[in-house]
Amino acid sequence: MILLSLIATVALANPTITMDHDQLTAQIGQTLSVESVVRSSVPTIAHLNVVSLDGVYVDLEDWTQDVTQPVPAGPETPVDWEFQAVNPGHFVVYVVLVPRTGPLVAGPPVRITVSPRQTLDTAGALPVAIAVPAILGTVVLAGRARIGRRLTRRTT
Amino acid sequence: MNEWSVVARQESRDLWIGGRGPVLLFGFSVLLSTITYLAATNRAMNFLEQREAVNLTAQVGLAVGVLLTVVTSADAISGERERGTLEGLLLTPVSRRAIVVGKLAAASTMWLGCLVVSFPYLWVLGHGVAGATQAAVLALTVGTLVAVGLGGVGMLFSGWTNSNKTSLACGLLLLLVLFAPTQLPALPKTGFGQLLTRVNPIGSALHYISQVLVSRRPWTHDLSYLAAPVVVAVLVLVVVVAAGPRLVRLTAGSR
Repeated sequence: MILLSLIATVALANPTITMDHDQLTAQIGQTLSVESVVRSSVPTIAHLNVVSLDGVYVDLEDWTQDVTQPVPAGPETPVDWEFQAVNPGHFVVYVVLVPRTGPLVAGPPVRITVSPRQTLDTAGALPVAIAVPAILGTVVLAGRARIGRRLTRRTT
Repeated sequence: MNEWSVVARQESRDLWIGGRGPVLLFGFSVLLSTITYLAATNRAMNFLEQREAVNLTAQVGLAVGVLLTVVTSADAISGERERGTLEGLLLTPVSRRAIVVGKLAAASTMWLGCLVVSFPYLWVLGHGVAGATQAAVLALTVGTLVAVGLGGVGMLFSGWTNSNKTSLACGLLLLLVLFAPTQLPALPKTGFGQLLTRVNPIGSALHYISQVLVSRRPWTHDLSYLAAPVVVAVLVLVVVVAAGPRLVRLTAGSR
């Protein structure tokens, strides 16, 4: 009787989820990986979400392509998540378990600080962006002027 | 000197000295300048890796460079017909096959011009991440294959049509059909989409370049994607050489 009640308790217990990190730092554009471990007696669906603490709009599809993963029943099922930090600021990444019946179960938050990075040298880009068309434009104008002079010489 | 190289030299001179080559190249440089400046300064575009900016510039350079090559080659024979200058060319002691090959070689110099112009942009965006050299080598090898292949197709259109407008329209339509699927982001991930990408010389070339530049795959990893550009380039060259005498006629389709 005691054994049956124990089994029932385990079977009916809500699934739980743990994360291998509680804090991460990254540079913008960096790809991050976290692992969650799901303990559940029934198959569930794990869903990753990203929330900005600074009020920045987060497009989840930009961060990761695999936002939803099915999780089979098991005492410890590892679920890997890979995402790219595409916005600078402070974010929370968390995983929610969605069982077929019963309430949602949210995992612990992983706090991520994404630092901005000026990826390109703007000072170097401007001279090239101006110089190349300027040189080619000068060549075109010089060529046209030369042809024009030659035609004028022929007609006179 | 080979007959075709004499034609190529003369055609290149016509294209680059007083022709429209420098003007087209100037327009090309303005486009690349705009993209480079935006990629370097615009916050929305400058939020990811440097390599993505290099990839974007390399892909735009390849796409527009191929477009200009096709426009140049599509004008090669039908343009001469329309301007009434083909008679003079046919009177020269050069075989018709040499005329076609020489004209294709001259049209390909448009691509080489675009390639040279795109080098400074690739360098300014990619220096420090070894992306600039890689992008330049990729543009030189993969881009040349695509430009020669599709430039040859443009030459065939030019030989088969009497009107320059028709040949240019056919060339532009072909490019549009080939470019359109590359704008579907999830295409290479599905089975049918992957097949469509592999048979499309432009789609497969752009996919290969992005795999090497952005995903940092080794050169040999996605080499099979280059099958379509290689096959198209070889096939078109064979057809152009074989059908050369039929292409260079005063009136298209006449015997």
